[in-house]
Amino acid sequence: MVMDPLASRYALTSRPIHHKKEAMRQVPTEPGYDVTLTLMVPEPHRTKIDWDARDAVKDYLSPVVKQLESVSKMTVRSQVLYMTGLSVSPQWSKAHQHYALPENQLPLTINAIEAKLGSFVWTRPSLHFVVYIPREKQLPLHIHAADGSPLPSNSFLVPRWGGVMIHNVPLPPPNATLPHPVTLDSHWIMSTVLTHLHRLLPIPSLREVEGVETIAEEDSPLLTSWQVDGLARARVSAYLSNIRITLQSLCELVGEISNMVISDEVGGWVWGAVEEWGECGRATREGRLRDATLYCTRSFTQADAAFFHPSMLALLYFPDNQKYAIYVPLFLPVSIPVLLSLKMVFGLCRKSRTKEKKE
Amino acid sequence: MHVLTVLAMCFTFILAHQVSAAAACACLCKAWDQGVSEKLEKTHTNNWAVLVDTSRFWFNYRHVANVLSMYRSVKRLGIPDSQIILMVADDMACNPRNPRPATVFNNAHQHINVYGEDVEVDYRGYEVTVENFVRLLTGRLAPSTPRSKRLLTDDGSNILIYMTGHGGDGFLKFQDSEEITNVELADAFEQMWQKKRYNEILFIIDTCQAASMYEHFYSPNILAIASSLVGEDSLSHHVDPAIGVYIIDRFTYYALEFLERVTPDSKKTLAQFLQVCPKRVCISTVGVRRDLYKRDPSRVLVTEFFGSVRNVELTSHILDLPHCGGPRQVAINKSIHTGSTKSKKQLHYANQLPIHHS
Repeated sequence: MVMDPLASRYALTSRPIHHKKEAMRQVPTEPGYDVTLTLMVPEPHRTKIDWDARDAVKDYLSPVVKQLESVSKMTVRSQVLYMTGLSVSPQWSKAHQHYALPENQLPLTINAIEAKLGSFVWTRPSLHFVVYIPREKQLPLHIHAADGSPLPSNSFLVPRWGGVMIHNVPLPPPNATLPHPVTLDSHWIMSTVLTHLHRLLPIPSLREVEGVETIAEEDSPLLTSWQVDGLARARVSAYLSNIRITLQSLCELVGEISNMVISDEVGGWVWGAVEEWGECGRATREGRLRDATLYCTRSFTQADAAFFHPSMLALLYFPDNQKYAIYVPLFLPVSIPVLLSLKMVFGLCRKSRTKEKKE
Repeated sequence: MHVLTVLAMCFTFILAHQVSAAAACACLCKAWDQGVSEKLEKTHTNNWAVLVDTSRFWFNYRHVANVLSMYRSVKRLGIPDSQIILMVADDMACNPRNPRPATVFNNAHQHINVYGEDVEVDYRGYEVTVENFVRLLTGRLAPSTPRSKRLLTDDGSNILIYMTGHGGDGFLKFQDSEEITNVELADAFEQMWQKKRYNEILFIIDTCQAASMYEHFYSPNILAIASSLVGEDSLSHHVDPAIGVYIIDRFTYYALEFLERVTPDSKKTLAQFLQVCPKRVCISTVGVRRDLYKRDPSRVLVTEFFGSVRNVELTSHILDLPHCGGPRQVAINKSIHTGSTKSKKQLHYANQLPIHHS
């Protein structure tokens, strides 16, 4: 599966449809993301889940997050949601001896749980990775693709949001004491999470070429340098165009309202954004991607802060045409007798002067 | 180092160009179409709704019932509360004149209590002002604004904006004390477009002379529906004799009749929604502005704006990662864990009623 981080740039032109699809899947380029791992246990009174999320994150996710720190900052949190289930209605499949969840039910599954995932706590964009333990009466639960075959990975990705995976656990034996303890397969969970993360960021991957065998790196889940570079390049490219658009739009807005007051703070941010944008462009041309990302992140933050500053609201300022509309009807009727009387005064002055001249 | 970077750049660019080759396209499309939603034209990734009621006072009960009915439909079809901004200018459910407290009905036969048990109003009472509304749309809120009061959309969001209240030729009245003009609204949408804060907007307005509000729009991808044209009044539907006020407007009543029959996986199109209130039932003519909307409404599903149907992609293969943290490490962790449980002190309930003896 080839992931092209430059897809969002191609999608702006009229390229094939898969670039647009890929651009829709990738998270928008922002300086920081919140990654939340959620374990959903709908029946905690029947199964006691034993999964050390902290260790799993430390072993698999933290190295990748640390490696990507210079490119995009990610904060990883984890939580457990009890007594909440996905509202799905799977059918028992005799052929496969499990409950089959057809693919057409998947698009609506996360709506019900979205409010409970806690994404309203922070304003950074969030990526959610949900591990779902099915209810006992729906075990084992497998996702079926459109052709009716079960999906081996038992997981799906929601573009720009995150991923959901279904982790089946063995049914408790008939006379077991409840809650029945179960250990989760941490390796499988974190592999799925990392697969989804790779697709969302996106982390570039190699295309399959005939006769070429790709050998994966054996000892760690870390990314290769060219992958990090590819991601950095795409993000810098997105930042450069976003910052330009923001600053241009701000200029147009300020140009329209001639009496808009721009505070020193906002002015400082705009100057800073322009300078750092120039530095970022220079660094990119010279190939210094780390520096370029740093400059671009700072520039983006400043440009956004200036654009979204509460004082930049056009509504607060009196547009010129409204000034005419309000003051003209106010002063015009009053000014007519004033002008007439002024004319009379001038006439009297002139008459008295000519009288003086005559005398 | 420099040469390597240049080589890596060339490599990535070559890869990127080759991706658009036909052969690659075929195998990629096959891989991607597995499990991707069939509507290739769908270009949004999430749905938001901004529902605004601008009138206060008891005799404008119908406007609150309008907006709460829309809220209920939108929530039923799947949009979560965190992505709905509900602005209600007055509180009818807890109004002292409400003979049925804590309820708001949109039908004289009291079929549905649209206030419900879990309504989340984001802007209530005097917070519903023109300034707050424009700040919400353009994103220029004070830094202390909570997330539930922010419109955190991105360039893949489809937004449904529904406004109801009293309007006139070119303005909409807010709270009986101020107005928003059609020019200000159009400028707010343009600011949203420039900062890529929406993919498509469906703008529905149910007021008198509603069509004047969409006259000045100039940003792309907006489909506007108004309940009446300039010079016409939007009429209310029926009065509830027990309450003594009109409880729903005609356009919203028929729109709701249509939406109540829509399920989250329905295939009803926007073209059908546009026909929902013909002149013989609505008495006013429903106005539609289509020139800014490039797609054909007969191919756009109603759930693309009113519901939240996500594109999902089935994961066909998972990365093959080496196992981290061997069994030795797991054993160490386990022993640390059991050690900590042993040293946990015994917990007991605190004294419920601590009585201090003097």
